[in-house]
Amino acid sequence: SINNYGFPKITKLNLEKMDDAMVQRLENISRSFAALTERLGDPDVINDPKLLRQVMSERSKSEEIVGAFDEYQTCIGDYDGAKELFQESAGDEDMREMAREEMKDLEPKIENLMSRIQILMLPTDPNDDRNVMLEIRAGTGGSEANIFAGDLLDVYRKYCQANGWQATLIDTNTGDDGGYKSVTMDVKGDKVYSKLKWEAGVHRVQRVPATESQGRVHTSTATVAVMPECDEVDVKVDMKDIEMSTMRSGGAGGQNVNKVETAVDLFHKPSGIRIKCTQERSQLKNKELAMKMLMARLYDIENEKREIEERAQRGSQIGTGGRSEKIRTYNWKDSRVSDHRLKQNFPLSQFLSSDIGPMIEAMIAMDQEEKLKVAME
Amino acid sequence: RDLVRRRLEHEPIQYIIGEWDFMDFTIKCRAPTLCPRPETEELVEHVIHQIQNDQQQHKDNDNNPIQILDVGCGTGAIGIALARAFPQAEVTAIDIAPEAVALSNENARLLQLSDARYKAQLCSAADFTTEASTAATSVMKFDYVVSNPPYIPFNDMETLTPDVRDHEDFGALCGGDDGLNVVRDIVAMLPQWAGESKCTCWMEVDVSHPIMIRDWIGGSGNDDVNKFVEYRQDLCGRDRFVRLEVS
Repeated sequence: SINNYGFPKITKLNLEKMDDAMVQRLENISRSFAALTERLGDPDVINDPKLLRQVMSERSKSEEIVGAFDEYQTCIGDYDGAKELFQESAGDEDMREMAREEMKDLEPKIENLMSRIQILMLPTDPNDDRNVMLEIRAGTGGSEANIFAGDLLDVYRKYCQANGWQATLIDTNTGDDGGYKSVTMDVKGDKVYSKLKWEAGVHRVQRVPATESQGRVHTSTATVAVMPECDEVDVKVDMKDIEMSTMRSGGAGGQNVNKVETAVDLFHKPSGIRIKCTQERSQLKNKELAMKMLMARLYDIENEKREIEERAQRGSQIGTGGRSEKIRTYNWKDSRVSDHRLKQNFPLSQFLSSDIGPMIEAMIAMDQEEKLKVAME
Repeated sequence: RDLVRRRLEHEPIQYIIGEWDFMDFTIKCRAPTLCPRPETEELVEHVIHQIQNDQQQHKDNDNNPIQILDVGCGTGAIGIALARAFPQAEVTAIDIAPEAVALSNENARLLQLSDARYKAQLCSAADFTTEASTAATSVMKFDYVVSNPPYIPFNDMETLTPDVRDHEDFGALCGGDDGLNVVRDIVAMLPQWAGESKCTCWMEVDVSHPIMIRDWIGGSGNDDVNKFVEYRQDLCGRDRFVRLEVS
C-alpha cells in the first residue's frame, strides 16, 4: 500500500528507509552546510559585509533540509535500537511490548520526515526569493477595463500589506473615468515572487460596469505581469541597442526653459519594448527607473520561455506558464471567481476582501504535486 | 492659497517648494539662483563617465585628489554631484552672485560635504587667477573644469516664458549678444587653470554654440593651447555640450 506521497506504507517491523543514493546526497549537503557554518567564524568573512551576507544566504538555503535530515538520522537510530531490543528480548513480553510501542511511535515520524525531505529536495524556482515589479495593464473593455485594473490594484495592495511586504507605486497611467490604463508597483519582502507569480496572466471580469446605464453585463480584461527584480548579472543590455529621448514639447530647451519635464522615453530596439517613465523629479532617476523596468521585462521574457518549456515537459495541468494565458474569470452575478488552472471556484467576496491566499496556496500545492510526480518517475 | 497664488504668478515650483531633485539627491533652491535643468544632469553624467574612463586608463597613477573647478556654480548642483560621485575629488566653485555662493556652500554642507571637499567663492571666471584663489586650493591645477555658464543670446531673452524671465537671475541666463561672453572668458583662462598637466573642460551651452565654438577653437582658430575635442546632443536632440582639452 502506498501513502499520499508515494512512499510504501510502513508495515510492522518493516520500515522502508531512504535508499543509499538519497542518503549519500543528503550527507554531502550536510557536509557543505557544516563547512559554510565554519566559514562564518572566519575573520576574513566576518570583516567583509558583502561576503558575510553571501555565505549566510548560501548557508540558509540548506538549513531546513539539513535539520530535517538530522532529525531523520536520529529517529532511524532510535528505531534501529528499538528493533534490536525487540529482537533480543524474546520471551520478555513487557520488554517486547515497550520496543514495539516505540517503533510504532517512530514510524509516522520517520514517514513524515522522509516526505518533508522529498519536498525540500524538489527543484525550486530560482526566482522564488526575489522582490517583484507587479504591472497591471487594462485590456479590452475601455473605461471598465481601466476600473477593473484599479480594483485588482486595490486587492494586491492590501494583500501585500497583510503579508508585511513593502509596496510602492512606481508608474501610473490613470484612466479618464477612473482606474488605470496601466500601473506598476514595486513589491519588496520575503519570498514575494514565490506567491505573486501565480497572479500573472489575463484576468477576466463579467459584471455591469459602473458607467453602464442600461444594466447590461460587460466582459473586460486586465493583464497582470509579475516580473522578478534583476540586475546586470541576469540580463545583459547593450546601451547601443537603446534609444532614449525626452518627452518634452518642441521649442528651446536648456536654460531657456524651466518646466521640470523630466519624463524619459526609452526604446529597446532588439525587443521593441518601449518604456515611458514620468514618475521621478529628476531626469536621471527617470532614466534609471526606465532601465530597471526594461531589464525586469527582458528577464521576465526569458523566464516565461523557460517556464513554458518546463511545464510542457511535465505535461502540466496548471497552465502553460505563458504570460497572456487566461487564468481567472470574476463573475459578479454568480458571486464567484473561477480559476481556470485549478478548475476550481472561489467566493467573489473572498477575492474582494483581498483574501487571495487560498487561491495562491492551492496553486503552490498543485505545482508541488506535479513536481513530486516527476521526481518519482 | 498663498502657494497657488505664487504659482499663478509663474513663480518656479522649485522656489515655492524650496528644493528639487538633481540626479540622486535633493538641493535647496532659492530665488534668484537658476534652478538646475535636466540637461545639466546630462552634463554631469558626461563628466562622470569621462573621469571614470580616465581613472581606468591611469589605474597605477596617483592617489592624489582630483581637482575640479565649477564655473558659475549657482545652486552648487554640478560640483556637488561630482564631489558625491568621486570621494577623492576636491571641488572649487566660483560665481559672481553672492546668493549663489552662499547657496552652493549651504547645499554642500547639508549633503555632508566638508569645506575641504567643496568650497564656493565669490569670483568671476576672468578674475579667477592664482592670487584670487583662496588658501583651500592654492594650487592652480585643475584636472577638470565644468561649467553651465549663462549662455542665452541677448535677443532670445525676450522669448523666455514668465517663470524664467521674471523670477530667475538675468545674469545667470544671458551671455551677451551671441551668448558666448562667459564661455570666452573660460576659454581664455583654461590654460592658466590647467597648470602643468592635462585638463578637460565640459560645458553646457546654447544650441547655436557647439558649431561656433568648434569653428573658433578647433579649426582655423588662433588658439594653439586649447583643443576642441567634441560636441554632443542632449536627450532632446539639440546640440548642447562641448568638450575642450588643454594638454
